Amino acid sequence: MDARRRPAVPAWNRPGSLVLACLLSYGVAHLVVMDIARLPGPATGEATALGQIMALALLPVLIVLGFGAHARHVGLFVVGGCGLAAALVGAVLS
Amino acid sequence: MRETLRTRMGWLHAWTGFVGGLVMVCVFVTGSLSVFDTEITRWMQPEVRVAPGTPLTPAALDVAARMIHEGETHGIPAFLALPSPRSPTLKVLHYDGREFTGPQLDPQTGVIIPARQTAGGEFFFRFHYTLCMQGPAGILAVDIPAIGLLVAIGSGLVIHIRALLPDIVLLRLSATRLRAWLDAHLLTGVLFLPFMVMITYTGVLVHVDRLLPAIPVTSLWSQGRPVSRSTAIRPPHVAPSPVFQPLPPLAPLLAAARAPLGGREAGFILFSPDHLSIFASDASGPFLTRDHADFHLPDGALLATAATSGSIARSVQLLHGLHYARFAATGLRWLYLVSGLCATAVIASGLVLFGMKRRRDRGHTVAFRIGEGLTMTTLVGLPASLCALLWASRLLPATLPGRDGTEITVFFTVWGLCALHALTCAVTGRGLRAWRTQLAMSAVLAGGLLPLDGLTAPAALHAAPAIHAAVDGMGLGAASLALYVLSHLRDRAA
Repeated sequence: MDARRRPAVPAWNRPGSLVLACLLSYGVAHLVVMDIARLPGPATGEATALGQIMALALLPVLIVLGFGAHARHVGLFVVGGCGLAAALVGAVLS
Repeated sequence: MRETLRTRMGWLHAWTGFVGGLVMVCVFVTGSLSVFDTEITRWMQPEVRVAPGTPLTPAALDVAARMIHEGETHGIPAFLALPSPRSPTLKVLHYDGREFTGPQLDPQTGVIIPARQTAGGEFFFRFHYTLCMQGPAGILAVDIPAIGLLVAIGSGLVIHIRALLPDIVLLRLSATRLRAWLDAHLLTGVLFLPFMVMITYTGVLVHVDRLLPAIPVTSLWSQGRPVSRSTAIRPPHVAPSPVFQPLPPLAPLLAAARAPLGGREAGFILFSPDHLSIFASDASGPFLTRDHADFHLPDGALLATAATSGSIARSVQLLHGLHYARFAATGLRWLYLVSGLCATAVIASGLVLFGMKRRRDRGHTVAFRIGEGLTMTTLVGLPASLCALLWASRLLPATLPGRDGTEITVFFTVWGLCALHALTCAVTGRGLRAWRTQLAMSAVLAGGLLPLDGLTAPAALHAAPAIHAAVDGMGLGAASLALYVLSHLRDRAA
């Protein structure tokens, strides 16, 4: 949608969507740690460390994405989709 | 108000930057100083005049071994920190529930150096990653704002991505004040962006187990539940008191440990009832390892060597090593310090900009004035109270019991008073006056370090001139900066 035609949105929804983006992103990052820790191959401690390295790098990116892509809440849906995918992978691995 | 990506990112950058920035300024300032924590401790203990490079003798090691064995038999486990180019003394340390403390020995004779108790540079380090709060709350109080800083950096990049390269060379000090501050924020922000991302990311990674544990979130809550009655009435398990074996001469063991540790220098020795472990020095490379060689007691036979292998573990060690910078030579540590202070300047200029942009519309509101008071407490009150800690280390009687705790009390008292003054003045509409008062106080405290040092410990100046010149010079630099800002505020008031 053209930015000039975009309807005005009250600013009060920003803190709410930031909190939601943070919670969703944290959940996804935590699932990533759990998934990678369950991967077959490296020792559990090493796999956990790898998961934490990746999840920590992912966390701020997800928050910015979840909050920033506001049109029709695309960002939150993308982050939520990542979480769903991570949960499915976790279910397969466990 | 129309929502565009830029306005939304601007809001995110401003608020995460402001809220996180108030904490992160404290973390970055103390973290930058922690790069020279050992040297600051030496400044705060002028009685220690051992020259760097003084050789460690078997006699001194034997004295230390006897002290440790005696402590163990009295139920005080201790470890031995070996001399290094940065810290030339031999230290017998134990954990008192808050910090590592214990006597320092001359590495040649083994005689105890009558050094004053001090919070030392260790305090800066502890404050840097816990804000001096006990338990995991302190670590999370630093890690969560650090994630906020990474979010602020990400949103700032989105805002300025098109002008990233031009911003490197754009500094218009003669433009309007807001524009000049923004240019300074962008210039330092773009130049030190890689350092800020690296140091923040690796810093959170050090305690990532607290933030992102590899256990289900539900079990995190169940861990905090009170114990059930059936668990509570169970009699406590009493472990038999261990019998500590006598220690063999340590000098041959140190020599024997070099080969299993890959030729690296030993950093410290841990003692158990039936064996001792010699750990590789953190300064021996960029990988922060806990590789060690174990020796049987009392005969000193080599038991095993523990060395971490595996690419993931090595990567984690490298990331930790990059953050701690214990491997770095003096020049690189100065680069860390300067980069850390420039990163502090980025956050500090962001805090100032946050206030400047909102002053016209919301300057009369209490919320704005509280924000201004908090900004002042962080930007001016913290350096003033850090200087007060250094003053306390010299002015408190050297034999005062609990001296280190008193120094920390002085630090928090001065900071608390600064906060009270800043908030009171800001809320009552005298914010500018409070800035001027606190800047003047900071200039006096920081600039006074040089005469204080010269008057209270003239002999130490000769023993370690580089350390004293660096600390006193940093004080003069901070005082000059405070006076420069103060002169600009006076011009504005006029």
